[in-house]
Amino acid sequence: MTAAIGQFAPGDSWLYRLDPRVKLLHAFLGIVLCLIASRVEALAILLVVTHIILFVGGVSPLRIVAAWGRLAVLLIIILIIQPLFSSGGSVVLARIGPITITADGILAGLRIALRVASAAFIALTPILTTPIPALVRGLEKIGLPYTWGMTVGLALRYLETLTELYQTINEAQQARGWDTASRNIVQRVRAAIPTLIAIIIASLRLSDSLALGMAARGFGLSRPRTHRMGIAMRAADWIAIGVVTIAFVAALFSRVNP
Amino acid sequence: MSAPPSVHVAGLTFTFPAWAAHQPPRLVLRDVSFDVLAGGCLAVTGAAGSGKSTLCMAVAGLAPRLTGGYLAGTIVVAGRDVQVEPPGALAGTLGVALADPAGQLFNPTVADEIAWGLENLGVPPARMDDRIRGALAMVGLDQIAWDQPPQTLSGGQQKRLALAVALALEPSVLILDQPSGGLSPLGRAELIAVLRQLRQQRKLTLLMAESDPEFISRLADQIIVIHDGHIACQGTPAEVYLEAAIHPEYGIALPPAFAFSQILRQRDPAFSLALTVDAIDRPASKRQRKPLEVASLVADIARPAAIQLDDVSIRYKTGPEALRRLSLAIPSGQFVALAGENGSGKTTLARCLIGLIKPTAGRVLLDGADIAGQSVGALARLIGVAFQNPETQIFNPTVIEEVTFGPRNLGQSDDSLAASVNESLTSFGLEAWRDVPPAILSLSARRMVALAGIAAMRTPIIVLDEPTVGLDDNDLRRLMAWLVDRHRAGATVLLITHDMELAAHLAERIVILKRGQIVADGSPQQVFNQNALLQEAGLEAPFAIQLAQRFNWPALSADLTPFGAARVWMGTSS
Repeated sequence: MTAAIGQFAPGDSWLYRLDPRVKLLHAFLGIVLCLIASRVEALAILLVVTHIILFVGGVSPLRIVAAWGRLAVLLIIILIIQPLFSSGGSVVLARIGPITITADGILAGLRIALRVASAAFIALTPILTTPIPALVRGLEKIGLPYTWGMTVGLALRYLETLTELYQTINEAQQARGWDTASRNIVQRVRAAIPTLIAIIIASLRLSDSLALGMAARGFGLSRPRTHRMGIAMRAADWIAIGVVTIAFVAALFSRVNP
Repeated sequence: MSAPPSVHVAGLTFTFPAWAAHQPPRLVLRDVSFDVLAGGCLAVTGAAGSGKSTLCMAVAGLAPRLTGGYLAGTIVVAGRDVQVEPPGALAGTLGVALADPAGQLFNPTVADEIAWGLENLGVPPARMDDRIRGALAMVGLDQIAWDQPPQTLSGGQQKRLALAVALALEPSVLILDQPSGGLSPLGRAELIAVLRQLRQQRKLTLLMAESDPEFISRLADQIIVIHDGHIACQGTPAEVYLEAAIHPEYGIALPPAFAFSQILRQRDPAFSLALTVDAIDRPASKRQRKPLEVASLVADIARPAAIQLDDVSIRYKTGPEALRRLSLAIPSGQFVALAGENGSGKTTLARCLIGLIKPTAGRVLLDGADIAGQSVGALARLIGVAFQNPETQIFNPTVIEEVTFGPRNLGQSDDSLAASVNESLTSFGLEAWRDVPPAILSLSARRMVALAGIAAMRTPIIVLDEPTVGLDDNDLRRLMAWLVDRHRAGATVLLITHDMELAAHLAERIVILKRGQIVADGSPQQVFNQNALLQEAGLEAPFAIQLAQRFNWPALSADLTPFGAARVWMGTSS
């Protein structure tokens, strides 16, 4: 069993109690900064600040470590591949056949990896600290149709299910004599294709059953929905919006861009 | 004078499109007509793939709208034409609980789950908590924490929550697809009690697709059997099971009490037909009983242990210990049934035997050798493990490739490969489906594919985790025949099951787990006679033992099937 990353776990802190709309605004502005910032230092600061917010906001460090674990492979691939393909700059570090490794290339890899990591953790902030119904409600209040919000909520809910599915299928293959250790990379990639097909079939079955269950409970009726738990902006939420906006503007005017 | 039926179906015909261009479309139901009176309970039964679930989904107004296919005929529920009403419009009239509760419980907490439907119907927020409380009380979940995530509930609790979700919308008709599937005997008994109470108190009309004869005979007042797309027979449970007994092609399992009373009726026509153990009458003449032997488990010390666990503890990252200092030795060639409530550690045990999960303490030996350090793939030579869910064990494009996957990995030569694959396909009744994608088969047939994939590996140790859930009677017989065969050939079998009739029929030894520990271990007679212990472990004795206890038989023969019970009965009363 895997630790549920990328999913809400109950907690109690100012960050958990903030209105989902505030957290969504923070995530939106944070990602905008990620995309326009191009200096490595700026991206690193963004990543550190996000971690401080998560930590002070009472998100378990274990969950943050688990998220890094999931991101690690992607980040390492970026750090290795990027220098191979961006060979600009004058400081040549190594030449291997046709490939030239330059300091700028390595810096470019670092920049992209930092950008991906920052964006991931900024996007995770509302997801980790808001129950899905509240998040859906927040998206709806911003003006998204309920079905869109519900789709986002369901996608988050079943992300973990799909990961578990992959693991279970993999285990079933091993139980039938499939030894990953004794296979080469081509054989392993080949074996992954049927696994993916099995996951697609299983998730189609799941979504079928979900669609039936939702329709049976009156989903898609034209009458207006009610909400058991309302969300409302409190003084703390307005203050948070102020802080987030000021920080964003300040970041824009500081030397984010070279 | 008589009130109109709650459910009226006339001339229903249902067709699914072909799965491939050169195939004809599949006619699932033809000209099906029936009524369910208000407050009645109709069970739709039939072999796997007979279309009983499709029928229920059509009555619920969900098929073909969400499933695809073509429908002709009339379906009226509580006076409303389900094909005309927009989707969702029947939600307050007609409740549905689907076969797989996990797929329809998608909210983060129990309260959110029930509230979600109420929100769709526009129920004022102030009234929601009362409705949630009421619905949970109706299904006996009033003690549950409202903020508990539904995925953390046991299988039985999830089924009841799915029912509460439907009941909160205050329907007058409830449609249930495979309500008993995957439940432990305790979970099943609780669900039966809840549904009976709802019928009495709320005059709820029930329509269910179900195959468990115990479940049907304790609840339904009418049964229809779908065979070959149409209604093959229809009537009260007693009438239908009489008919089904002479039509094995229907693929319907008989209630054990019914099978028992039928055998006795062949000798004494005055013996009354019974559907449950409580309905069996005391024999008219009570003669002196012959003393009978109790077969006790003969510990076979001479044989080496095929499976041995020494003080094994397993703890998952989250949650309590799944296995606690568990020791178990299974001699080579023994047939053991492992039972226990959902979450008692049965599946963890199966996973640790093949090295998919490492013990936090203790050691596991197969054929006398410690498995630590051996890869799962290498252990597969020795031990074939079939897991619960067939969906996650099927990943090849055709049935034959699926069955070939295991033995080919084990390096079987081409000749023996073809032989074991063919033998396996025959044992599990899959010859006709060799080149078909497994995904289009019924659940029962998909499970047979997964089992055939393990069978073809011809391992000396076989571990099956809940292999009978969703199997129809014909497939169940195939599985039983294969198990008996392999056991005779000397294989060691560990069968994890909730089905006590099956365990009593096949196993020499019963082991019961509770919270990761063995609470009972012995011959079926020894274990099944400990009522208090069974109840604590969420289990129920098989029919033969229940009957023996009801009539204070001193003992039973080693045959714990209804047939064995009938022989004892004839011995004691003649």
